[in-house]
Amino acid sequence: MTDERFVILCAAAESALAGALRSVVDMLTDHQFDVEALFDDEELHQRLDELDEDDIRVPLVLASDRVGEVDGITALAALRHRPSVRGVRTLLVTRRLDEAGDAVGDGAIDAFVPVPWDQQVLEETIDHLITGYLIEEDPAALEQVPEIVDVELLSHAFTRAEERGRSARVQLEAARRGLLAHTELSDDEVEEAMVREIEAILDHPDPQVYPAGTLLLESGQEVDGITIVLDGQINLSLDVEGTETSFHVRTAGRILGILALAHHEPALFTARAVTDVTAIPLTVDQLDDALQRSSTLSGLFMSVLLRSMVRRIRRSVELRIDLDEARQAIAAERDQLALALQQLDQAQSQLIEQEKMALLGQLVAGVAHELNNPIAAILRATDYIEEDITSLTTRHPESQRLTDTLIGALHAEPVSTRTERAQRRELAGALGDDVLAGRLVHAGITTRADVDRLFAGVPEPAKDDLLTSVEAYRRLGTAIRNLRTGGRRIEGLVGSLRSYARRPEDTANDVDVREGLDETLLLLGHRMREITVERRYDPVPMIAARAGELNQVWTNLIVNAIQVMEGPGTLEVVTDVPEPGFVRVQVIDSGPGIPPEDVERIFDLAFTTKQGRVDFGLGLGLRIALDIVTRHHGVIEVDSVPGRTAFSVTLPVGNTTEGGVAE
Amino acid sequence: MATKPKPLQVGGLIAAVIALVVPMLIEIPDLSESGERILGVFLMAVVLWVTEAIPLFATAALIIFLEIVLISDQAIWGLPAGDPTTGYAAFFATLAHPVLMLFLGGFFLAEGANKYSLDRTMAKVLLRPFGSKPASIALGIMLITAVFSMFMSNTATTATMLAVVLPVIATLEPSDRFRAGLVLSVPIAANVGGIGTPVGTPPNAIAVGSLADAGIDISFAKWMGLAVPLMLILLVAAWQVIVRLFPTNQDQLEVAIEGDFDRSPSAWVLYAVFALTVGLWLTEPFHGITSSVVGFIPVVVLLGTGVFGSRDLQAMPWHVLWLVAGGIALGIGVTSSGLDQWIIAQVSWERLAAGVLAGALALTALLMSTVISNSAAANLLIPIGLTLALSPAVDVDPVAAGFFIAVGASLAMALPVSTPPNAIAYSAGTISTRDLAIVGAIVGVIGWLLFVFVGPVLWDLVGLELA
Amino acid sequence: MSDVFILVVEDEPEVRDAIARDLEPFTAVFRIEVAEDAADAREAMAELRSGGNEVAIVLADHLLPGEHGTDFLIALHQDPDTQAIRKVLITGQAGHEDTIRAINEANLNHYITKPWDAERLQSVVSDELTEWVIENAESVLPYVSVLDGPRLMDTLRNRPWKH
Repeated sequence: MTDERFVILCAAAESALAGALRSVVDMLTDHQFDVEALFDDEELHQRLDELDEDDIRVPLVLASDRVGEVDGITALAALRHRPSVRGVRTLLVTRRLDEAGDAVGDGAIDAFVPVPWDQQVLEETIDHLITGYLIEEDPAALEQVPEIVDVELLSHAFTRAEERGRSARVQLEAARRGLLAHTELSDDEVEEAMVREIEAILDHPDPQVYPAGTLLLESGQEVDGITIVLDGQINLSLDVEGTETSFHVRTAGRILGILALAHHEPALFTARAVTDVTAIPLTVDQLDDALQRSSTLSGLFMSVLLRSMVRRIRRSVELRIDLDEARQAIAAERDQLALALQQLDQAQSQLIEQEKMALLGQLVAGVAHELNNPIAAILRATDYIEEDITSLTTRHPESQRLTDTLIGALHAEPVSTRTERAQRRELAGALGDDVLAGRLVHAGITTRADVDRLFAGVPEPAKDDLLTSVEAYRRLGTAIRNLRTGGRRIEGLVGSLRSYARRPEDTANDVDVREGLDETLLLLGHRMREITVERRYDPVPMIAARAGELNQVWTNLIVNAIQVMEGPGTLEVVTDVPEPGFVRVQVIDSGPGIPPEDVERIFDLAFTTKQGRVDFGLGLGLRIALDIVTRHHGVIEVDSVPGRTAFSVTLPVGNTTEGGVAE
Repeated sequence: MATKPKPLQVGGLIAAVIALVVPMLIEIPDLSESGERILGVFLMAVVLWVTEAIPLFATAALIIFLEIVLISDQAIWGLPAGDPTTGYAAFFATLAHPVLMLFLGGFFLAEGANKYSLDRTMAKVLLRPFGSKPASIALGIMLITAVFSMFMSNTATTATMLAVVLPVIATLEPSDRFRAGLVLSVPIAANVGGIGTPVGTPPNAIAVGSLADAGIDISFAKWMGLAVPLMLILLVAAWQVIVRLFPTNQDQLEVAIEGDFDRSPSAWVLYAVFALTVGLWLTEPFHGITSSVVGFIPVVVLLGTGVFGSRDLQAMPWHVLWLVAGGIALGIGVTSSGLDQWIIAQVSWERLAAGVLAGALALTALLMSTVISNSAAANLLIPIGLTLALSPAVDVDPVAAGFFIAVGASLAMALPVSTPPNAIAYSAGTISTRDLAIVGAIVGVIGWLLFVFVGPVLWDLVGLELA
Repeated sequence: MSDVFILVVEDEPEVRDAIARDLEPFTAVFRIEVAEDAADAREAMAELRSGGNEVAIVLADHLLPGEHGTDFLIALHQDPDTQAIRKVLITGQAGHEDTIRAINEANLNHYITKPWDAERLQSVVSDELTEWVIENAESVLPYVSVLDGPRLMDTLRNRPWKH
């Protein structure tokens, strides 16, 4: 092999650009090519002449948009007409992409690379151009520059060689020099070449057709030849401990039995036709004969053999790697699954909680609805009883006194027990009879004057009877009043419960947060007897929200406040407008406060500040509140110092159906 | 609990002092100095027992004390020569009088019965044969109450039987008159039953004790012979009165008394002692062992076997014994001071027929007991009654006198305050004073007639000697 | 004549009325005093006691404004003067803990849950008053008609001489 010299010329006006191109080419050619920079069109031609004299080939000329006095395209196109540089490839590095594109289309230049260039694109383009030049002009030189050979182009050249009827020299030379063994021709291409070579040598033997399912090679059998598959699909399989494991069809290659034959070993795989297969069976003798006759074939045969082995080795390495990767993937998947499961668990418990709350809400709404009728009946019946008793009383012989007593009792405000005791004490002093005074005060007769009026004109023996009657009527009146008070309280609670526990809402409605807060405070009233509640409601606009969900937020925040105060305390509930378009609700307790280190975590699921006390209420309740507020595009903020913890919920007004400030 | 003294108490105390002092200051003709002194004590006792200015047993203790310091050989102010004196030990001895030992035996049996629920269990067992008809249940309750009351205190018996009766009446309509009837049947039967034995009620013991001091011994069996038949007749009569006055429209009544006989060794000891003691009391004429001696058997056995401990001993109603002792001591004082003779001398007793006197004594006891304690009445009347009966001038049997006074005291049951059983039953709330007054009066009168007029005839018929 | 009182401590007038009314069967022997909170109850008790009266039983609501009923009953129990008083907690929603605390510390004799049943309330109060009478009253007789007669009779039978 001669050490031919190649020179690549870079022509550019600007020295900087030329230098840059040169550095790229330097690196790319790994100094197998000499690269020279030229700055002028004339200089270019002068140098080309010199090189021609020395018989030094120029495979490639690069040019920038301007080369001396002429533009790059002109300069490069001119090279087409120089016989001394027949076949030279030209590459324009350009900013003028349109012109460059046209020039390539016209054949004026071979290729262009836009400025600024992509290193890889430039490299590949240069490889391509040089390879193309070498295939056409000097295939033997390909061996010297394996690093830059564009393998794809070379394969194409191979496959097209016969049709084009040229480049027999290329094939011959390549095979002879074992180029194929270390070029990166694909297996298919090498096999293809071998098949064609055999066919040529054996004078195109008739291929045979094997129907689908035919056993071409059996695992463990001695191999007495090879089978060259021309068309159809083969399945390779291996019997591993009674289980037939299939391998990919691609693994098969087109020449069966070659490895086994080469090593004089039984076949490793079983080969079976998947579709109808057209193939040429070749005995050992035939193959041997062919190899004797063609050195090209022997080269190709060696190459195929080598590739088959490499393929098998690579396959086994790959399998090992695959196995390892699979193991790692499984481990990773397992971790991911565990994580997913944990998240699912959390999500599920949250969902269950929400579902429970929703169900509870429905249940409460249903029960509240059912309570309507009985409570209405009770309240109406109370009215009827009052009417009838009053009317009956007027018929009583002592009607005036008793009616007074009854009506007095019906409308009396409950008296504190202290007052009642003081009245009794006073009356007992006046009457000198503690028991009698107690009876009288209890019957609503609290002063000496009342007593005298009651007993005016009543003979002594009848007084006790009268008092007994008065007591009975007083109690009757009180009982009716209590019935009504109790009934109205239930009615109010039922009303609150119904609006509180609305059925699940799909859509947002106009909501006045103050109503929801009042309802919540009313419903939680039984838990707040020791707590002073201060409501400070600034006027706030209606907001678009799901009222039932917001009520749950208020409930959770207030219950949390009650729980942390653990007894007497002050609960402030404040509404205001922090900035236009937003409504803010603050629930402020006078509890011990949340330690700074815990503030971050109070919305975590199941977070509690006290060890061993899971019912502290922080955690799920706050978490649910946070979720709801987030769904409403709002935020919850916490500001806590000992003695004052404020939860602020800020909600956007959103698309309400009516604007303005709600009253 | 120390409470403010009531006006009656204050008045009673003042009157008592006057009653004590006046007879000693004024000269009473034909009455010795010691007689005058004991008259004062007697009058003071009357005042204190009637007014209950101090507890009955305290009066009894005071009597013993005053007799010792006024008329015994230990008298602080010496008695004129010739006046009869009594050794002071005789007065102290009343606190351990044989009849008190008899009574103590009764206490032990009653407490034991209570401790082992013998009474309640017996009530259940004994009530079973009476079925479920209201009238027969009433009869059953009355008979059982009476029998218990013969050996236990009337009060304890009433409490036991009311605990049985109250749940029964709770099943009746509030308007049902039979509720009151059933409640009434208990104290009536307890009072009547107390007549049956010497240990049935303190007046009996006072009578027996005083007679014994007068040299007349009444055996347990003899007392029962005199009393039980008439008592049973009276009980049936009372039952009829109650059933007729308090009818019911119920056909059936539900009576449930839970409990079973205690089968512990201690209980068996008690049962045995109970049976032995009562057996010996009833059979005195055959073996001649005095009932007081027999009465000491349960004391010794129950204490000795550990069935009763010191707590049980302390829980005994000792004050009842003191009250009885006070009565006996008063009798001794009256007799020994010659006051008895003086009293007899004041009236021309010959004009009174023997039967009339006995009847009058019973009636007096009945009337007095209606308003004051039975025991107090007996304490006051028995010395006088026996004095009269022992006087040759008056033709009345001393046994009859003592017996009638004791019976008369027991027949007083017309008011809630007449006897503790009445008070207990009245507190149960279902009976009115009127109910009690009517039934109590009827039964009292029937009983008085029965004992005073039918009694002697009956005793004659069966050949029962009084003395 | 000193009276024996039932003290009802309840802040809601309607409920107070109802309890007092349900306790009327006892008024033949006992008197009823009502108070709306613990402080008021103490005043009432002081006034009653200064008049020579006794309090036999206190029925207190658990949820009172200010001091809890439970704590009030505990305080009563700790004061030797009021230790003998029978204590009943009426509770609308006292947690298990509160009730247990009251039983342990106040020697709570009973607790009744709201809404209560008149008959049950009466039977509880009757039992407790009976207990009080047996332990504290000079004589059980005045109470036989109103309280548990058979039980009082049993007492009488066991100490027949004290009446």
